[in-house]
Amino acid sequence: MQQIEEQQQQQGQEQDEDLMIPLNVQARLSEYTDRYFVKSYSEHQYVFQHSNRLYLCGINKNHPIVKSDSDIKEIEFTQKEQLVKGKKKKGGLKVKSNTVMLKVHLENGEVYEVQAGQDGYIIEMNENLQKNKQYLKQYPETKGFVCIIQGCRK
Amino acid sequence: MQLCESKAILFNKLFEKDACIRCILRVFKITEISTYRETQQFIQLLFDVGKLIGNENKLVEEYDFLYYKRKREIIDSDVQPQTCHSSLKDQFIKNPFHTFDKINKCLICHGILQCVDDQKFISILVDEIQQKQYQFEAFKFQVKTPIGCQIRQLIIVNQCISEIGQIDPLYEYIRTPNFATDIKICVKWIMCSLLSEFLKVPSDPNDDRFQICLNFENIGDDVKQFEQFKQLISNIDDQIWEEKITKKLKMNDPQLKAETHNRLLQKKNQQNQPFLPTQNNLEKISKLNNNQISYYQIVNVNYPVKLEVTTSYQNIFIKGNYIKLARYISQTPWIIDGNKIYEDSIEDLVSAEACKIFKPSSVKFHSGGREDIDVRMLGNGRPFAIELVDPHQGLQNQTQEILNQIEAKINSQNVVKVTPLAYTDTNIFGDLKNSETNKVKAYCCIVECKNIINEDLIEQANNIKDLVIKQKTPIRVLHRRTLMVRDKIIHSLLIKKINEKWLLVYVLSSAGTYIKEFIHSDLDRTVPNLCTLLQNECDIYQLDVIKLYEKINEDVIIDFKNLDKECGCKI
Repeated sequence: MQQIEEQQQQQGQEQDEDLMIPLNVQARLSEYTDRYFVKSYSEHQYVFQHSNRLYLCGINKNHPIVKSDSDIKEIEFTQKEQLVKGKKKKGGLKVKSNTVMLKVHLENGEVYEVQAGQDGYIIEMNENLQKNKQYLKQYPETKGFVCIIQGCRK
Repeated sequence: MQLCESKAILFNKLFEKDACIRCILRVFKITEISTYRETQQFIQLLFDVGKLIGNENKLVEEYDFLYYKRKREIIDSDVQPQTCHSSLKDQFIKNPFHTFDKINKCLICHGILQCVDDQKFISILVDEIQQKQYQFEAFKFQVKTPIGCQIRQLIIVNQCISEIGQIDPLYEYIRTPNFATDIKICVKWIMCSLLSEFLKVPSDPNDDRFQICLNFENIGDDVKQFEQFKQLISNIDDQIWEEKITKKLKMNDPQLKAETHNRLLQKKNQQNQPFLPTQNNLEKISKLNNNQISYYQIVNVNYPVKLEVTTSYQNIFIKGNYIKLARYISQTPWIIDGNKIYEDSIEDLVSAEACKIFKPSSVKFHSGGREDIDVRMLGNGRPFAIELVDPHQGLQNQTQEILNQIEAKINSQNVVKVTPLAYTDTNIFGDLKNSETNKVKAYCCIVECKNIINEDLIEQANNIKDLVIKQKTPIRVLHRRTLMVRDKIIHSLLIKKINEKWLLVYVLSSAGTYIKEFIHSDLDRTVPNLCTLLQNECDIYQLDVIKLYEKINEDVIIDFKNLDKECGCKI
C-alpha cells in the first residue's frame, strides 16, 4: 500500500534593501529542493513536482539500495534513449508510473528495479548516473535523481 | 487641354458612357493640376469638344453641374444591407463618405473624384481629424483607392474605342496599360490644398512625422468585377502550367516527376477557389489583349464606397539605463488569467510619466536582456528603450526638458532609477541585442555552505581565469526552453569569507550565464560549479547584478577585482 506524504515549503526569504544574514542562527536555510518543489513520497520512491509542473523522480532514503551496505556495481538503463527536441520537448519516451527505467546491480549480487514513478513523457534521464554511480546511493534525493518527466498534456 | 478631332470623339463616347469629366481627363493623361480643380473651365471644355464633333451644345445640355458628368437618374441599387453577404455588410456603415451613397455616380471612380472637394465632406473629414487631438505642424497625405476602378476603366476605354471603329495611333497610345493618371494622384492634387487650408498647416510629402491616410474601399463591387475573369485567367494559367510540366517531365528525373505530379494535384484542388481582387490578379488581367477584354461588361451592383480615415504620428524612442533597487518587481506586467501576480513592473514605472505627457496609443518596452524577479540590478544599469507608438502630443514635447522631468519623476519613487534619458531611433535595437548577447556581467551573491569552508580552495578559486562551464537548461526554466547544453565562460571569481559557512561571491561571466545554477549546481546539471570548486555544498541566498561591461579585457578584470571596495561598504 502506498503512503503518500506531502511536504510543502515555500520560498520564505524576506528581502530588504540591505543584506540580512542570520548570523546567529544555526538552522540551515531551506534547501534547493525545498524551495521550488512540492515533495511527495511513496514507499521507496519519490516524486517532486516543480512549480513549473515538471516532475523530478527517483528513489528515496528508505530504498534498500540506499540502506544496503554494499556499493553499486552497475546501473543498467532499460529503456531506449529518445532525444527530445525543441521548446515543447517533443519526442520523449512515454512512460507509466510503473515502467521500469533502471536495473541496479549491487556488489553483493542483488538486483533492484527502479520505476519511473509518474505518468508522462521523459524529458531527461540523469546522465551523471553513468559516470558517478554512487550518486544514486549517496544523494538519492538530489544529485542522484533518476529522471525528469513532463506530465501528459490535458 | 489641346483637342483634336479623334480626342473629341473619344471624349464624347466616354461622356455618354457616364464617366465623370475628371476621369476622362485622367484617361487622356492630363497632368496639369489646375485642370482638375477649376470646375468652371469644364463647361468651356464641353463647348470645345461639342464644336469638334459637330454639335456645340450637346454635351453642355446633358451636363450635371453638381457631379461633373452627364445627367442620369439615380438607380436604386439591387444590394441592400439586409440581403448582402455578411462579410460585405460593413460597407454600409456610417463613414465620412456616407452622404454620397445615392448620387449620380461616375462609372469608373464610383463618386470618389466627384465628391472629394465637396465642402460638407471636407468639413466632416477635418472634424474627424481634429477630434483625435494630434499636435502637428505639417502632414503627409496618403490615399488608397479600390482596385476595381482600374478594371472598369480598362473595360470602358476598350468598349469606347471599339465602338468608334477607327484606327488611330492616339487610341493605341491611350490603350497601353498603365497609361492613364492614377485616381490616387488626382485625389491628392484636389484635396491637399483644401485640407491644408482647413487644418492650417502645410502639406509636405517629405515630412514623415504626421500622416493622414484615406482608405477608399469598395470590396463588394470589386469582387463582382473580378469574378467574371476567373474562367479565362485560370485557363491561361493552366496552359502555362502544362507547358512547364511537359518540359519538366521530358527531363526524365524521377524526383522531379514526383514533385510535378504533386503540384498538379495541388493545382486541381485549387480550382474552386474564388478569384479575389488583388494586385496580382490585376496584373494578370492587364496582360489580356483587347479582343479578350471586349467580352466583358461592367457589373454595377452599387455597393456604397467606404472611407476609413487613419492618422498616425511617427513613433518616439527614448533610451536609457535602468537600475532596480527593490526585489519582486517584474520587468513587464505579469498577468495570469487576468490577475496581476506582482504589483509593479519596470515597464509601468518607467513609462507611466512619458505616457501622460506624450499620450501614445500604446507603449512597447525593449531591453537588453532581463533579470530574475528576485534579483536587483545595480551599478551602471541595464540599457532599455521605450517606444511610444503614435504619440498624440509628440511635436512640442520632444525636448530635453521634458526628458529631465520624466527622469526626475521616475527617480523620486526610489524603486527604479534611470540614467539620463535621450531620444533615439530604430538603431537602438541593434545595440540592445548586442548588449544581450555580448556584454560581460559582474554579479554579487551571498552563498551558504553546508560544511566548514576550506580556505585553500578559496585561494584556488580566486585565481581561475576563463573557466568554461557547461550548463544544461536549468529545471526552473525547462518548461519553456529547449533542453540543450550551453557553454559559458566564468572570466573571474572573487570570494570573500563572511564567517565559517557564509561567503560573499563576486562572479564575472559572459552574457547569458545562469548564475544561480552555477552556485548550487542544479542537481549537478551544471559542471563545473561552485560546489565542485570548493568541494562543499553551496546554496545561493540572494543575487545582485552589479555591473555591465562591454567586453572582456585586462582592465575589466582589474576593475572587477576592485568591485569589492566599491560595493563592500554597502554591506
